[in-house]
Amino acid sequence: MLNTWTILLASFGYVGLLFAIAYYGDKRADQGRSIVSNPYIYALSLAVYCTAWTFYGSVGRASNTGVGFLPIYLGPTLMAALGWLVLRKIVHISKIHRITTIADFVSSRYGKSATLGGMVTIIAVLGVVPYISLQLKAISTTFHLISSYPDVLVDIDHSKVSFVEDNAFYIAWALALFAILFGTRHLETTERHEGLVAAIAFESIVKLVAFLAVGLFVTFGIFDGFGDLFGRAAAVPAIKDLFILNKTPEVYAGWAMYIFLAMMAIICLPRQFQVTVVENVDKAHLNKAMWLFPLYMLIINLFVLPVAFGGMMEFPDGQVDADFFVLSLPMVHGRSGLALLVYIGGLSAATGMVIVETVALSTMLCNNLIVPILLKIPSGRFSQLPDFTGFLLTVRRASIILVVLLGYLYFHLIGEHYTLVSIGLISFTAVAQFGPAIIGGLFWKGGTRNGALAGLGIGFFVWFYTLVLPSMTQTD
Amino acid sequence: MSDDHSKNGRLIAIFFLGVLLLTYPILTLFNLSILLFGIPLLFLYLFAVWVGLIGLIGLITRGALQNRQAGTGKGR
Repeated sequence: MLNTWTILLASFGYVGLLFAIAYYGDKRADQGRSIVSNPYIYALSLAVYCTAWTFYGSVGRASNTGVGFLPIYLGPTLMAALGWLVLRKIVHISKIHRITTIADFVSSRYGKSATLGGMVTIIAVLGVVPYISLQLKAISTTFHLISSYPDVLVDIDHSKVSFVEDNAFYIAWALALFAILFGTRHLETTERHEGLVAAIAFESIVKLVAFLAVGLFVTFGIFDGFGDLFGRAAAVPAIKDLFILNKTPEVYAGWAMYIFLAMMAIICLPRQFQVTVVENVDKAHLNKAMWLFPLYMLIINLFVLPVAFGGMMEFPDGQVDADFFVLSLPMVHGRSGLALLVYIGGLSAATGMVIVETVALSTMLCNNLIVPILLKIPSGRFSQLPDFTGFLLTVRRASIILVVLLGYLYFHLIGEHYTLVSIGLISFTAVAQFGPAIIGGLFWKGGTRNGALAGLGIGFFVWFYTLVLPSMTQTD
Repeated sequence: MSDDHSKNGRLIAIFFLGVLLLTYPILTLFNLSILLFGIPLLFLYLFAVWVGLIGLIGLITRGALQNRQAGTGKGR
């Protein structure tokens, strides 16, 4: 029913549709009849926060920790309450100073320090690469999983799959192409990309619909509503344990820390800065988005626990990876159409993240790292190049390809041994290092460039030593 | 501007209310292994607080919870 060609056709057909939407969005923007200039599209574009981590990984996390997946969404909800105070101020300052990246923002708060901007860029790129790799891992794994329909007991060993047979490799190239076409169309001082935003908003609808469809299927198709599902789950001791958080100080402290990390992430992640600040058409749109975006997160999380518990009851011996229950449940029940919808939903969650993140990082790499270095070389008169704009665009396009390839490499070398959420949390912690510099830059006059540099540097070192080095040594 | 100011204060209060309700020690009051309406109590509690926070943010940004003197009819 579901052969590889159908799945490939659906995958690339979907990416093709994104190209069409972005093309239409850009065309309308050129005609001055914007399709993205309203709070609803703005709120949907903020939902690029919900990636493959949310779509697949939350269920995996819930099957280990119960409600342990929720702080990642409660944090941004709390930050939304501070949106008036913090986000509006960031948007306001960025519009006045024509700030286009988080590196620009941090450096501009501390006397336009190029060193600071460069440092933020390096941390952002190295910190976010694992996050991109988790999206590619999800694309690759779900493709292999759904290709074996209806068998869900496939052992996927990514190290045995060469990149030639790995559809994530081709999707990665398609996404790089998308980011190049719609993210670097021309250099503008505002760096707004309406077509891209339109495509991202569309992706947010697709992933929401797909997740709700599988949630409704599990809750009301496999089980007889929430009461029946949780009632039966209560009879399984391993699941009943997940009804509560472990009553230890570590768990409560961890819970609060994840809320805090997610609060920071919503302002520090390069892609969130891109959609919230750079792509913001009108500050007034924040008012509605401040409650619409948390509402989106609430709705997409409604069925995480039912799917997790449903999966644990369906596959009690733990042979099926809980990270992919969302897909394996409809597969094992013979719902090929639903399985394909879920696969596309996961693809939309992953591709949206990769596109926006690479565009944001490439702008940073170009403006805050590569160009400042080139301008410092005395012999190279780069600013006098006849086609400086063309040169900048080339740098930016090359940066996009570099970031996507780094993500793919990380996935094959390291990422395949970890669950989706644990990879993502490494990135969250990395970008949280920007938090003090940003918040301090907004509300504290006494902050200095050297202080910000030291804080970022030490934070980055501790992050690398405690979170990245262990992951590298454990793989062999 | 005073309109903005009072909204800001209310939203900050909502933030602290959310932090209070969603973390230790209030969280422990609901961290019990019982079902309420067939749903585990902790899940029900967290989602209820979440809905409440979103609702309050929505009402405040729309200006619905405004003091009478701080401009009626504004923000609708």
